[in-house]
Amino acid sequence: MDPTTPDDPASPIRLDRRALLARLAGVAAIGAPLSAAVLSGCVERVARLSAAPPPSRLAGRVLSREEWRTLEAALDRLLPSEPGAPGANDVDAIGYLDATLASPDVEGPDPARVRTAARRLDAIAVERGVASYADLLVPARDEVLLALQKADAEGLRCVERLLYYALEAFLGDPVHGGNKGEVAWTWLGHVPGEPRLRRRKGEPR
Amino acid sequence: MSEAFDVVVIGSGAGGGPVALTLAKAGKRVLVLERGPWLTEKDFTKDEVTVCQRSTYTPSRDLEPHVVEVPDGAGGWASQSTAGSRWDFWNGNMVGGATNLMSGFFLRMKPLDFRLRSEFGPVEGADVVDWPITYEDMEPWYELVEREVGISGRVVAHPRQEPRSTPEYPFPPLTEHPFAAWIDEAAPKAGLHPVPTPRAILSKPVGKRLDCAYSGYCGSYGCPTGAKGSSRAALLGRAVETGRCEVRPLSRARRVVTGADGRAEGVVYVDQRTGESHRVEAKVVVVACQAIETARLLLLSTGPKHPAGLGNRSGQVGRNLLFCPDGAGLGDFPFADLSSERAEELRSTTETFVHRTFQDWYVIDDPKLGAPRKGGTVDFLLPHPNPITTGWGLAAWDQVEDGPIWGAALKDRLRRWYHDGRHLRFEVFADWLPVPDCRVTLDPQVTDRWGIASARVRLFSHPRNREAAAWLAERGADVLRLLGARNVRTYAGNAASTNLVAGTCRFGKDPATSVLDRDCRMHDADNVYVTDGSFIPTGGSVPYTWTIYANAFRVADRIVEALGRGTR
Repeated sequence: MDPTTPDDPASPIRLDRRALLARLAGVAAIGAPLSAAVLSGCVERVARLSAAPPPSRLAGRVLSREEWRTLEAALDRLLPSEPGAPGANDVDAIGYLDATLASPDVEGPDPARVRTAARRLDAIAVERGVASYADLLVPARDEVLLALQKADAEGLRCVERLLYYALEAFLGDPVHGGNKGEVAWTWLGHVPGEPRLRRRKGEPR
Repeated sequence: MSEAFDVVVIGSGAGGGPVALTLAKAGKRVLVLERGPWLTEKDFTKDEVTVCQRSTYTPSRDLEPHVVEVPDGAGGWASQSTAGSRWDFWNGNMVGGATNLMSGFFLRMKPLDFRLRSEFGPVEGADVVDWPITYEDMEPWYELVEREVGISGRVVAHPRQEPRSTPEYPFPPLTEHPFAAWIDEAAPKAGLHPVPTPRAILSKPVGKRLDCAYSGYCGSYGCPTGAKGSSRAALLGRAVETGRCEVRPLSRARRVVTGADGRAEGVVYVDQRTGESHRVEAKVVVVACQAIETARLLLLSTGPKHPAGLGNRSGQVGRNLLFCPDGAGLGDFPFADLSSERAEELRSTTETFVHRTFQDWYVIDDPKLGAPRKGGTVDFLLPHPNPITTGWGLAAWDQVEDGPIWGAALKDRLRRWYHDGRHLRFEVFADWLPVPDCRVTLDPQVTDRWGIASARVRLFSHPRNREAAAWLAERGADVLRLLGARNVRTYAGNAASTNLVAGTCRFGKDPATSVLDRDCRMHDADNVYVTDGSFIPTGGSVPYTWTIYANAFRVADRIVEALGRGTR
């Protein structure tokens, strides 16, 4: 099926999008701070700023501090920030990923699979002599992602899931926490459908 | 003491709405049980994450899985629960059912679709049969749907135009994208006949329903103006207004209760809010839960005369499950390729509907495929505007082996998709050949969250399905090339279209080989009717919905007859 149609749920484009929630009890939720550049909607400036090293974070709702750091680095390679074109870091894809995996709307194995992705990226990084995937330089990060994708079926599925959520964070409505300031839509000239969702389920009016 | 109704209708989609409206207008007391909530126009948004990427309008598959069986390549079957899988057989569980979410490309079946066995003879490995009724029997009901549901379009003469009792659609066509005129200019030169695609979308307001807002987010989404002809917007509201029809949302039918004589006495359902079971009595029970869940409910509804499930004396319930073969194609129109006038036409338009269909190949007469055989429909449309789905498609289109494309390469694809040109796609509608072993049974182990056996769905696509889809996709590609499209790519596969489902309770003359009679009344229980797409014995090469609506109006008229006309 043409991958641009959403109408066929049997299409491979909808691989495992729902998953069993493995909530981590008792972990404080830490929202991901927005960069001022993203809020300004200035894509050029965003792209330059995003080359700065990722800020230090505490653990998320689903992701540990180590997983957060690793996956943030991986998401940045899946949708890199470029001059004139925003990327995963500009839309807080990692914060979106953590918040989304903690949502009861996400069914199936995705939270476990995403955490497996972090574990396996770090394992390959250790083979390369560093402690974490996030400690690798950019070209090596791409090599390791590709190595995981080609390693086995689980590795491929891990990369697919990460990419899928990166695209949700990048191209979804900002009401869900990604695509800050609609930077990705602005970049692409995308016109959202109306009426838009004004608040997420369970949010106060 | 339990409540009593003339008719209890289980399911409120295309099969349920016409029955509710017709019976209520005829003075009968009707109860419609719907397992989902009663959403209205103000509840519908065009939010991709909520609507298309989460189970917002369908049950969680972790809690209510199906089990899917596919050939394992070694002569056996591999099965898996749909929980956590890519499979989802739920479609729009809410008042109005999946008609809320349909695209509403409405095409009638052709006269030959009612007699495929006589037209083309048997097909090895398939159970092709003639219908017990003809196109002429159905035509008045197709026409009624045009008015009751609201169909917009324009009738043009073409070689496959089916007979019509009226000259035109009751609603004028919706406005069109420039691609429509391009097709109209190019295709006739190649001897082809582009047909404006009729839509179950209002081009003018009617009653409480507004006309189309042209937001471009149609398929998969609920319609916030009421223009789309859902069973809810077009029929059920009017049924309720008679004062004789009650729609009970969040009410999940548990079983149809039958007595010692084998006839239905009523329905047991569960209030989803409280978990409490209730029983309602009915003179007539109408089952319309969409093909898979209808078969499941009947198989669960055992009784003294129905030990293997209601209407299943001959073991036919659940068999000959139908989908639509999987074929599609896409072409690019880079601005740089086009004349400045045409490039500007594409850049500046905000139109969302292409609305061109080809039925020139409804019969395939190609020596490479042997004797003439059934072909189908090719429908042209814009790619769905969903951005996440678009991005995912660009990542995965040609990388299924090595994994998706990502990084700067994916972003470049995104940039080019949105900025360098426009795109035109088509989809194929062809017959999913009926195979008795492509079927629904009750799973012996897997249950839903209430401990009720899940439906086990065995998927088998006859080799001819893919052949037809691939052949038709090549014809669609020919049209794209006539238009000057670049990078034309086609796809045909064996995947089952989980949003286009029919069969499992075929109607026919012989109780040994069918579940329902020509009026969709159960052979084995004369006050039970099935009015969703389950009755369909052979698929036809068009989307099912118009035929389901029309047949449900036809059967509703028979039920009125059976109950006696006039208010009690």
